[in-house]
Amino acid sequence: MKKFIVQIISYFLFLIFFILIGAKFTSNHVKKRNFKNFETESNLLILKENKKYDFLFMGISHARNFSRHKNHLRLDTVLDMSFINIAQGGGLCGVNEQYFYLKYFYQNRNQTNQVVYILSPPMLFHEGLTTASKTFDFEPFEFDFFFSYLFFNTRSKTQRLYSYVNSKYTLEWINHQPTSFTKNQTFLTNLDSAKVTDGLNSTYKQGLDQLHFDSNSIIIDQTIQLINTNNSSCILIIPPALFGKWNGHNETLEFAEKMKKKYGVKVFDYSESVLDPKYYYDHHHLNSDGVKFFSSKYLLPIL
Amino acid sequence: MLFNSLEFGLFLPIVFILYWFVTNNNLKIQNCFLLGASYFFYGWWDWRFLSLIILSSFVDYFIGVFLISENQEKRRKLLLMLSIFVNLGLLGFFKYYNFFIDSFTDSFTFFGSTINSNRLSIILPVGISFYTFQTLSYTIDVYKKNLAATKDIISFFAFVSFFPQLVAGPIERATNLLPQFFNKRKFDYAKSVDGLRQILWGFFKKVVIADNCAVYVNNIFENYTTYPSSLLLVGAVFFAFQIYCDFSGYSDIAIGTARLFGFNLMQNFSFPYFSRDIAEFWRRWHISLSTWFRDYVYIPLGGSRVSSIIKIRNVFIVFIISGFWHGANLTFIAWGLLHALYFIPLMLTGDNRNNTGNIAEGRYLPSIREFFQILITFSITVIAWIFFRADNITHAVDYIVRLFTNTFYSGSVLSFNGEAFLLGKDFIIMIFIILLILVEWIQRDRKHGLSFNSERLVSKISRRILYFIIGISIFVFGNFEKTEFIYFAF
Repeated sequence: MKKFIVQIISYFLFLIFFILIGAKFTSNHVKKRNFKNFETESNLLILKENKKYDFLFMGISHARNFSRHKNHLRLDTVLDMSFINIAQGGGLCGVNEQYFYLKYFYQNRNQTNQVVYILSPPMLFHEGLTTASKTFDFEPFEFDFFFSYLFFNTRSKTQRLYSYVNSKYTLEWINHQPTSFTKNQTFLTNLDSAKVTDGLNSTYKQGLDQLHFDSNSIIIDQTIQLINTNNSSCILIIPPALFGKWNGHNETLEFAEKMKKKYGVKVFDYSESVLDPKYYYDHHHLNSDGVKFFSSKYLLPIL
Repeated sequence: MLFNSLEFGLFLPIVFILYWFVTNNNLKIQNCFLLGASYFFYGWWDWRFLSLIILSSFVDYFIGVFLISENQEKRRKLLLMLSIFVNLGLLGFFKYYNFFIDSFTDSFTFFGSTINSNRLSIILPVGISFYTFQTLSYTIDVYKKNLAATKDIISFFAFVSFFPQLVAGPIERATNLLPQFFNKRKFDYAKSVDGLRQILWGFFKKVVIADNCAVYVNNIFENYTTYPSSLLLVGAVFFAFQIYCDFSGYSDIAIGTARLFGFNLMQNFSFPYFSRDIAEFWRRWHISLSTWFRDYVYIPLGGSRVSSIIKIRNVFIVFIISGFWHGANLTFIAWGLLHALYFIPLMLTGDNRNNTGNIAEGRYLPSIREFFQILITFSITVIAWIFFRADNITHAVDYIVRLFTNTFYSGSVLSFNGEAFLLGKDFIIMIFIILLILVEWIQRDRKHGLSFNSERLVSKISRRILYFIIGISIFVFGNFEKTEFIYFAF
């Protein structure tokens, strides 16, 4: 019996060891490509240690968009400030994993003066974002990141960790290259109401789920506490959309105001700040000109 | 609890350790523990449905006890009927109620009138087709005096709900499994190691081949009108491997798990795609079910010791019931019917027992004749599987028609999921299918794909490398998204 148990344990340890070593090996191979924040959706590929930034972006696609398509460089020019973007678009993660990324950022002795949290209302209501399992598929395998997450309290952890390691064996990962997409010049000519209605219906399939909203609000509260304990200040921004207010806008703003009272964070509702379709590539994502316009007109004065 | 879930990954070692280290000194306590673990395993899915297993166990336990003391044939028959009524009643209600209601209303529609159907939203309890047949076999065997009824209620309940085979078989006979609960089990190193190998092989088949094939099969069957016949052929062949690897993989995990606890379950699959005719296929495919139908339906109907007409009737009855057992849909009945049509010519010519021995015994390769026999048998089973997989009869027939009449190859549509066919993951799946065929061919005279003995020219080191490669393949290529085992729905 003893021999049997020892053999099983040895087999699994050996297997896990080789799987993790293999994941580390392919990750090192990809890391050699020296990615910049605007060339990848990955955070770990660009995250360093002991770095100081003027501000940090977090949130979902509306925040990530400030770096995509070399928009990051456009913001650099407009704002003349150093910043890092750890937001995750593409439905990869929700508020809890954003909290984890920020924690990891601080754990690596990085600093930021301000954290700009782009508070998109769907992020607070959508269940899919809290259970998405491909969150770390484009992150290089790092032992400390893996083990920190192993002990992190969240939903769908096993699926995420499995997908994290497993994805390191895919051709998609091994061939991951810095993106060469330089500018998003696509623009809309008008607001298509039917498309907006369809889009909102599919985003809020379960309606305005109060349960998800409450649990996500608690996590954002914890995120603000984390920001405060690391001597950064927090700015909550409701991002612009061509259709103006998202469903759940009022609840989100109300929550943000509550955070303002509780922690003294700054709150800005920019949902209706940009209503010209030429600044959007879809109904709620700014194109490169839109990012430039928004950052010079709305971000510059508040940072 | 699914075998390919983290929950089971934690459940199994905990139960294993408690079973051998804590409860091993007392057989009754050990059986009680197994019963509790089995109920926990089942209740993890939905604890409410435990009541059905308990009800089924209670009924058959007490009927068994009454059958011992009852000598009047009429009363004994009545008790047997009660068991059949309760078990098939549960199965019929939960699995077939809506099917019969729909068929009833459809028949009225066919004749031009409409009636309101009273469909119920019924959840199909996992494994109900398996455990009801298992308990029924006990009562029938006791009734026939092939088996002495037990008074040990814990052992009996543990036999009905034994977790490794509770939800997808093998459907064990009380004559084989029940006595194993009465005897003290001893840990057997060789048996446990072999059990682990079987589990490993089962996982490989289930998560690497079956679950990955499913992605392509679902796509092809859903969009079959847009694909050339070459892809329809791939869809049908992939489904043949999906269903085989899904179900036999599950059986391998079940048998291997039972061996870890000192139990021997019956072999459920014996490399069926190497069969040389359809009769041999049915001796190698889902053995526990086909022997169940043979012993409890076919033989009581007169078996083969009756006139040809009755024999044909019996074969149709068995295959149609077998098809219906798999699911409440006409497609399953069509699948069974087709197999009956394949089988009857062999039976009438007396050729149904031509191929009972091992194929290519003592040779590395089959003869040309054997090769073509295997190919033909496989091809006709693939055609039948189309009915099994299709949504309805029209879908199946249309699929088959298109398989033979569409353009064989069309470069413009020979791709799906954004990648050209045979250039993506599907190519890797094909390699794994070839690997599966090779390993199973080499191991065809053994119980499972990774069953080795010391006489074999496979050194310890190369075996370990093989286990390692399979383990890595499971991790890297396994599809661990939450998919239900196909047979759970039966």
